[in-house]
Amino acid sequence: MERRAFAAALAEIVGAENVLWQDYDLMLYEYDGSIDRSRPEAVVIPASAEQIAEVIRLCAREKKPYTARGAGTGLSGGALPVEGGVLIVFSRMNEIQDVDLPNLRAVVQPGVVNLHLSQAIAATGLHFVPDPSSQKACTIGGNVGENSGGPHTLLYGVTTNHITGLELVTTDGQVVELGGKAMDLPGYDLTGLFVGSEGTFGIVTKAIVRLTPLAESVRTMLAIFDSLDDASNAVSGIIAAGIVPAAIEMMDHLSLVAVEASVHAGYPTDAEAVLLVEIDSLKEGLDDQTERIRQVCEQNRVREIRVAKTAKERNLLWAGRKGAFSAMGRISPDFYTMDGCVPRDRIAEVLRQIGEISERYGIRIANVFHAGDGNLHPLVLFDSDVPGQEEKVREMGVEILEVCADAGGSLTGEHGIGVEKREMMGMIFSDDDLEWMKTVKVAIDPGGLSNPGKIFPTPGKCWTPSKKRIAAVGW
Amino acid sequence: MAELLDRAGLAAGLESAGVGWRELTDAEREDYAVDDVAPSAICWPASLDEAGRALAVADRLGLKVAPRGAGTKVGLGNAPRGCDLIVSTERLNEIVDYAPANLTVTVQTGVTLAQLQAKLGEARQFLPIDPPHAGQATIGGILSTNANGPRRLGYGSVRDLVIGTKAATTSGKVVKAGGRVVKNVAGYDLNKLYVGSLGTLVLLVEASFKIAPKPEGQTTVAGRFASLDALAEASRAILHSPLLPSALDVLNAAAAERLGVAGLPGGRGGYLLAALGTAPGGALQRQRDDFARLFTTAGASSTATVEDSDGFWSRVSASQGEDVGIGALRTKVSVPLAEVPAVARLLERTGQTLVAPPSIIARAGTGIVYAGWNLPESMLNGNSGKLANALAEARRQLQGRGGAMVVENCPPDLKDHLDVWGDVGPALDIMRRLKSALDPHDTLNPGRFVGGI
Repeated sequence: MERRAFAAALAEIVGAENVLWQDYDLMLYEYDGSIDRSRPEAVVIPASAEQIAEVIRLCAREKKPYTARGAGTGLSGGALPVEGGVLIVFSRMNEIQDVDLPNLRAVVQPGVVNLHLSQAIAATGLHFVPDPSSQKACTIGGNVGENSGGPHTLLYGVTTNHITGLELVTTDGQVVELGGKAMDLPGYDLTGLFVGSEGTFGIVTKAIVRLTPLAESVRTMLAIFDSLDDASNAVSGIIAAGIVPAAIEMMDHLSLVAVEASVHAGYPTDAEAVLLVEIDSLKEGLDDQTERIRQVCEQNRVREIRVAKTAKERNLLWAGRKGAFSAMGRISPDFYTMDGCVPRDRIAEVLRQIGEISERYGIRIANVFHAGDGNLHPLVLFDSDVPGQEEKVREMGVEILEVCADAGGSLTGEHGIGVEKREMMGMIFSDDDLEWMKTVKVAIDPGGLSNPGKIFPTPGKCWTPSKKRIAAVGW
Repeated sequence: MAELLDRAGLAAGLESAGVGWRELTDAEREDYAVDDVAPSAICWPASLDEAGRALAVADRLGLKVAPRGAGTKVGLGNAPRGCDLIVSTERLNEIVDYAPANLTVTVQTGVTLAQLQAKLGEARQFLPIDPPHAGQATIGGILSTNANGPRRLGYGSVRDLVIGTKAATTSGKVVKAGGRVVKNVAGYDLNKLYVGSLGTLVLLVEASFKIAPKPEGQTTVAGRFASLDALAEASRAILHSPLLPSALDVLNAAAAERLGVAGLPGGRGGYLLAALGTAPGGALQRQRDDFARLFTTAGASSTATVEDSDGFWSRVSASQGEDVGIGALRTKVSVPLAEVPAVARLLERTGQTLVAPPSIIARAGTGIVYAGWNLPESMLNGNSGKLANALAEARRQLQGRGGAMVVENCPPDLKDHLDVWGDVGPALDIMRRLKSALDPHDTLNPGRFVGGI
């Protein structure tokens, strides 16, 4: 079916005003937060699961792929329609349908913005825990697709730990409920399998989420270090001491400079690294934990520890941290966000190796990340107007993830594999592992139309080890 | 089915695979039987690869396999369509990797929870799960049955704590999902698919977990309530407060009797609500005071601090699995939290239909309700149909409340009259497709899971 006729068929389902198909309109949807681009054949903005089911049945008949898109904040290309087809946009499915206080659950449509849910229920003393830095924009549907994290998941877990049920349009166009408000419902845990499946198993049209009481009291500390190693060792020291703070975030010198230029949060620009440590508990527990964290930091030669005295100070520190990615615009035309995760006792050496990669390429890297989880976010700062630089940056990305994989880590802690890292899956999974995952994919999506081109390496185009790695292991 | 066993084929296959095995004697066949379906042989792979090869041999010969850890949950599930070979995880007993400063551990699945906890305890850490049979149960069995205890409220269930697995498949491969870091979204989260899958998809051979520091102290407060409505008010107040109990369980009078805590906290009868606090530093005292205060405000007739807190919760957890004997019947109900009191009432009424009163332990913070009956002999002979009808009626009412009932343990002939899992709805189609893709010859525990899987 040619594009105009296909768009007309879609318009019959969702109304002509909710279909975009002309190049001019589609350009807006060809990118997300990643550095790749891909233009859909058409965009639909449905209003219900039933409409989505009809769209999927149409796509199945016409063999057109489909990809879900929330706010497009994803960093791995999850919302890019890399094989064309239909982009399903959730801006009209953004209702909080049910806030069920007695059961500590909410039922939301995928287009609900993450922060809006917690704001809507703030007066109840409850909140939705996962808090990605993009939470002002990103949607819960996107969080479900990517199994998103955020700073406060150290103590409370990531998205999958807070979803008890989903409504799904299957790849054959049926609306099916998985899980529910209750836990441990009989059968395979499809809810758990589907969270983080990057939209490759069908389209989620509703999520049942857990609501959690807000902490009674919170203390936020800024620990300032003159060495990156010391800051890293303080992180594993805190974990090893049996303290689990709500969050431990790290920012290195370059990040501090960028953040201060942008947010003016009061971060020291002469430090090599800071840790933003937050503990939350009953108020009686704060002093004891603060003291123990202070001791660990002192053992690791902390220069100074500042404790936020007011909510305003605390909010400013967090505004600096959560605004860190966008602050990079102050010091670099472009940046490329990595998402490797490593064991917490390997952070110091991995950061050293990342520093060496930066020096070798002569391209700066800023580090701002969820240190408590070992979830690194090296930000490679570059200029896409300089010919060849984007290529170099991609090579650096491969090397950085090799370092993470070799340290026993993962390619991604919370951003997803998407299209960005699919060719690198071989770093941490064998052919058998990937074949097995593919078997699962084919069982659920035999037609292969649900967000194709994600997660799995392109056949015949697997990861080529970097030149450095080849030299190191003698291949 | 011994006469159908291709003994020579099995011997040749397992021996060339290097897997230790032997045929079972008649007495052993009875011991290893799953719902009266008796296997003919047992094998003990001693490495991950051997486990894969053992499954492949069975798969090729068309033998039906029952994976087995300590055998503590062998009664769970419907009667199998076949059971020829037991694949034991007994020799997969290594703690593979333990990094205290990373708060993670990797073990082979034949390791028992008790062994693992002893190791982690050396660094004042633990895997924060407390399922029944904590002394014997293996990690593989706990994962495959999604076995949890009271502390799942504070620490999450085993599903939330597993971060990686290696699984042997019937095609003879050993495949990995997840890894050894606490945050990881690379590839599908097959760990979740395997948890609670009752060995019907793969044989789990290795698992990685995030673990936790042991709390420095703990406190348990119990309150007695004459009415479930008052108890529900107390539990609601606690669950909506920032007190974050690590466990919050309801015990009816029969359960309290059985656990030997009926006299707690003074008086008898009614319902007990017990809250566990594990907050650090001075917050522990605060938890204790506030639990007691909220209990009293909601109408508790008495409250008390439980002296041996750890021992109390061990008994609560163990009682989920203690119902042995011919008349033992235990159901696990999952419901939205606010339905817990209504479900307790419903189960007590069902108890009257079944003659014997059930003991009930309800997880007020997670909506999991266990009811156990010891049915008198008069109920057993020829009354299975009546029993099944009573349970089906209870199940029907629970479904109306967004819940489900699994019959976890029951007299064997009851399984002829009911599906222990109940109806799982339209998602069954996806489950069946997964089963036939991952275990195409129906080799692993056939028939024991939902919808005939």
